[in-house]
Amino acid sequence: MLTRARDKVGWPALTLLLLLALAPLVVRGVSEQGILVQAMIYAVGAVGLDVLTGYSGQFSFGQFVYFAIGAYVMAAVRVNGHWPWLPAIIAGVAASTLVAAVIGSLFVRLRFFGSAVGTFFLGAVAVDLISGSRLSHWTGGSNGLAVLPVTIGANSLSTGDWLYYTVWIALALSVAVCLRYTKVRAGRAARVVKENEVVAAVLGVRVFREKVRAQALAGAVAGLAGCMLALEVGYLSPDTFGISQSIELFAIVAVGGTGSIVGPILGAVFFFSMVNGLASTSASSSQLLFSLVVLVVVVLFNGGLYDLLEKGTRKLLGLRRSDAGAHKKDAQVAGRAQAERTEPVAAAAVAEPLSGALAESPATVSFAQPSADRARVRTGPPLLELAGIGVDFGGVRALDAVDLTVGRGEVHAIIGPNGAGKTTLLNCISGIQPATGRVVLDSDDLTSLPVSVRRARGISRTFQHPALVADLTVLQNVEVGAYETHNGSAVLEMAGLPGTRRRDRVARDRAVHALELLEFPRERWDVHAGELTMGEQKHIDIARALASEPKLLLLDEPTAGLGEEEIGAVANAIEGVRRAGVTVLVIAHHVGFVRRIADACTVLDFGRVLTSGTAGEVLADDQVVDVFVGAGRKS
Amino acid sequence: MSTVKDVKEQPTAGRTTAGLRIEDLHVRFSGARVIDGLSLTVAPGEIVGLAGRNGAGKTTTLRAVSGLAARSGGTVELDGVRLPSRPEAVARAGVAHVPEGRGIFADLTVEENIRLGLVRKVPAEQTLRGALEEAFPAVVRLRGQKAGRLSGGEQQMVALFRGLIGAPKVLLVDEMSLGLSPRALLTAIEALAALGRAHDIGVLVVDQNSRMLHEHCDRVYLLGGGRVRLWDDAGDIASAYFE
Amino acid sequence: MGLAISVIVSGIAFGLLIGMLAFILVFLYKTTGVANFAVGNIGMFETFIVYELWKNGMGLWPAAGVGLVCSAVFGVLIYQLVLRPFGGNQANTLVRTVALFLLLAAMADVFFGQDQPYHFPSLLPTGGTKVGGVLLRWSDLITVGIVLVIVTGFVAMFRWTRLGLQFLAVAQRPETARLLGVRAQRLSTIAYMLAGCLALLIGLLLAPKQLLFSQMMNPILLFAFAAAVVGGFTSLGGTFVGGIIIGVVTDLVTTYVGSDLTLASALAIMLLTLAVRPNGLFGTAQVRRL
Repeated sequence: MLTRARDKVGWPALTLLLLLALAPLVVRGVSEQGILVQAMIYAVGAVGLDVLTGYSGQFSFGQFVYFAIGAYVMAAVRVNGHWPWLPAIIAGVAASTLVAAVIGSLFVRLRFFGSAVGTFFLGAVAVDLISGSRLSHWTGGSNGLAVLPVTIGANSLSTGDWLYYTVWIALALSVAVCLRYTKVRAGRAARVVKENEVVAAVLGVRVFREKVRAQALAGAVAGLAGCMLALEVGYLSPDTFGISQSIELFAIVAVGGTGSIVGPILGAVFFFSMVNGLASTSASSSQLLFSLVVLVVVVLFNGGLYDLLEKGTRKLLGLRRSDAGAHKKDAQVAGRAQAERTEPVAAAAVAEPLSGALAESPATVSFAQPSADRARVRTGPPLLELAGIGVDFGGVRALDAVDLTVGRGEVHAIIGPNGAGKTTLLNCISGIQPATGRVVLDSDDLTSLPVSVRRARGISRTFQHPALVADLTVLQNVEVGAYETHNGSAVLEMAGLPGTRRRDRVARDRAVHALELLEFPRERWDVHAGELTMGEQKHIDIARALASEPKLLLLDEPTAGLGEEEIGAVANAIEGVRRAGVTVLVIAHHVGFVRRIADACTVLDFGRVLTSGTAGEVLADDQVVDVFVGAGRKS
Repeated sequence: MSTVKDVKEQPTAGRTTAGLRIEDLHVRFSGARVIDGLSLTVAPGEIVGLAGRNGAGKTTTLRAVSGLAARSGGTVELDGVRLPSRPEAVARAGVAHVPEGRGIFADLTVEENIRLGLVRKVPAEQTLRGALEEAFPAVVRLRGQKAGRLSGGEQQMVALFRGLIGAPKVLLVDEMSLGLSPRALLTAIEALAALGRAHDIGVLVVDQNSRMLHEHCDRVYLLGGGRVRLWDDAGDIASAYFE
Repeated sequence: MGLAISVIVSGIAFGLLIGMLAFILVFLYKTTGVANFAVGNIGMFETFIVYELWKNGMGLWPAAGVGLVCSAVFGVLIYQLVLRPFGGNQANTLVRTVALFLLLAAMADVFFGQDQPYHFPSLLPTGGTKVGGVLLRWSDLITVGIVLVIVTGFVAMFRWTRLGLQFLAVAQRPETARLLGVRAQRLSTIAYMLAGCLALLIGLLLAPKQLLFSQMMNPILLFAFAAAVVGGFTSLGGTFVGGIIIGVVTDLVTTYVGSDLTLASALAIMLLTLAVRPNGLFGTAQVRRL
């Protein structure tokens, strides 16, 4: 559940839409066509709900509120305002979009559980409001509201083939819009938000805004579905838009498979075939069977129908690979192999420490490679200055008056025992953690500025757990980090105007540049991030942070949990970053690694700076050795 | 220090079935081999250290013993009997585990925290309450306080108290020195070593602080590349951290 | 004024029922990690069982007794068959409870006939007494008493029993609790057993007031969510305070403004609380690690 957010569903979607378009040729019965019409109407809303749930990680158990708004607004402006039908539908969709955006911005602050409860609640409140007397002038209260028939020439859109294809067009439209959304910057940013909000924010993504956008899109599509529902039923009553329907819609998405766009359509067809196929026995026993199926699917087949079909097709065609995670081991082996045979020029740089590590005993390698010969010309004022940084965690002093200066173009390492406050210090610099004291970058006081502004001024960072989007390729993941800003209109992006295309191109160029600079093997660029080894993921995380062309790059334990070869690759990557003129502040535990890459080094212990200096000096300091390997009783 | 030396010279061979025995342990996380053929033993009354760099897999080793991490291969035995795979069953078999970050229940009182150490029913006369109260007098004084209010050092005492009160056969301690001042650490480790020896409890201490381990443990293992080797030269810091 | 006071009193009684359902939600949330959307319908289904027994000639009290035993079994079955197998992540489990919500409503419709709603006989005496011109209904007073007894029972369990201490431990640090030998799954089973019984109690107290039908629990479930959020989703005691606030306010809104805004007022209180105190009145902040 919620784990996947697939990218390549265009062909399956097109196939399914074509099948549905051709279905009336085979399915001749009026009632059978009626079932498909209902299924497609729900599918319109379900696709939007999938965007919300599968692609942006939010829940909604109240999507029928927007169905209702679309339907009622459309019907009411036609009855009361005598609007023609097309503007009425547009008004309905616009109203549901607007309300979804407003309500969405109220709920996005809640965690997924809170938004589930909130939307569930809203669904119930909406029914009360529709059936109550307060809005009865518009809604007809509990008496309901007749929908004026819609005709083109002599053909009524409310019956037969005309209804079928009107609804089909609505479905095709919503699939197209939702698919497009998942491909543009906004959709990809939303997927990072789903993965990890803090990481997204540090990449410059406007978390709040992207979540509301997904809400608005889901609301718009649901409003369209509501209009279709109005056409089909011809008469609106509050019972049509209850919380049961909202929950059923969610169940449809879950059964069909979240994060696939196509799955929810399958789910809707499945639901209505089942409910109506059994309607001859009893309406409620078909409901019972459906809820039983939902439960079985959710308990046993987490990925839903789409996942089952995908696996089935793959087995049939004998395809292997390309499923994220399933073949991780192979990918890992392949990744190692490829890391070793890179282009000849780069190979020397990569292979040298590796072969060194293999040939000689571990103890001598890094001692034999001191950084003394490194040109350490530091001209001009320092890039980063921290003064008196302090953080309290409920009475525990995590950081205590930390002063730190990082010179322009240097690689500065922070070392110290667990719990010394190293990650907290990076959080203070990138603005995630409020703190006392001053943060100055390039003579620019950032102390009171939020995360997004600090990124715009040139601070970028990686995390201990990279939080890449598993269903996006390496290049796509890096692109998300490469946008100068994440501002701008999602509608324009989806329209693909020259301005936004240019912007996408710039981001792509920057991403390519970052990957090239870090010498990440080109044949791995189109691999899904879910198939990468931990070492590669850390590598991509650095590329993603570097792609924003920062002045200062903060790296949080890029070597933790990696093997010796992978550590070598990360060290190479950092040297690439330094060559590009970017200043690096890196937390590390592996002293050999620090010795190899760092110009300067600061030791933190108990939230204080113990000592600071060149890497050679600091690592030779007895006191530091004490802190690092133990300040027990002197023997 | 002289007592330490005495115990060190005792032969550990010949008691292969008693105590904790890990043989060829393997642990994988999504394909990656985090622990790859690790073997070590902790005899009753022995205090053993496990050192290694951050991310080397020290915590994972302890979690694999107590069942919090799935073991993908190898055997873990206590007194010659295979340990079960579920944490609660491992605990009831006599393995106490002070987890990373100490696992103190902040909203409960110190006394309630300690009582949770007796979830595994132990006859009253077998509990170590008396001995522990002597070793950690501060804990007795703090009995009624909310554990969340305590300092890091006090919480560590409570965690050790809770781990030992049920007289386990083996005690696993993760990141013993985390957040402790050198002085508090010294008090804690000395008390731990003494209690373990007095009551025949095998103790396995995981820490980055290799000097502390070398000074207080009967043996120290160094973890690297997913396996361990005996690390007998305390001065040989380079091979552990500076490779 | 007399009307207002008696509205407030019945609001408190109803609020305590809300609080009790909210208590179950939070109790399950703390012990099993997921708030169960289906708790209301669990109570509904169990009340139907009692109703069927009574309709087939059993006395009301014996039927309630048998129903209580069934509820305990029912709770255990739900945990063992629906929630435990292939233990999913939080989102998956949440969806499982939603599916269970649908399933129980459908089961009630299929098994207990299409003539719903039914009148359900009251276990409590009807009528009331006037105190200073204010009508106090016996059923309300007894409801208050029952809830107080249950709360006292739970407080005593948490404070003085081994079982209660283990519940608190699992709620705070499930992993550490297991390291100490706490059998977490057994506790979850017991928690569902208790939840099943409490849910029946709510159903039995509610059904005489508002008829018995498959959707009867939906409003109170929503109120309970609101109460839990107002009380702070991590606070067991806070749920009752939240319940009383929601109960009284919604009762006043229903009487003086109109029933179509009852739910809306509860939603408004919930959102207002979240805006002012994101962790509710008594909740504690959850620390998130990167």
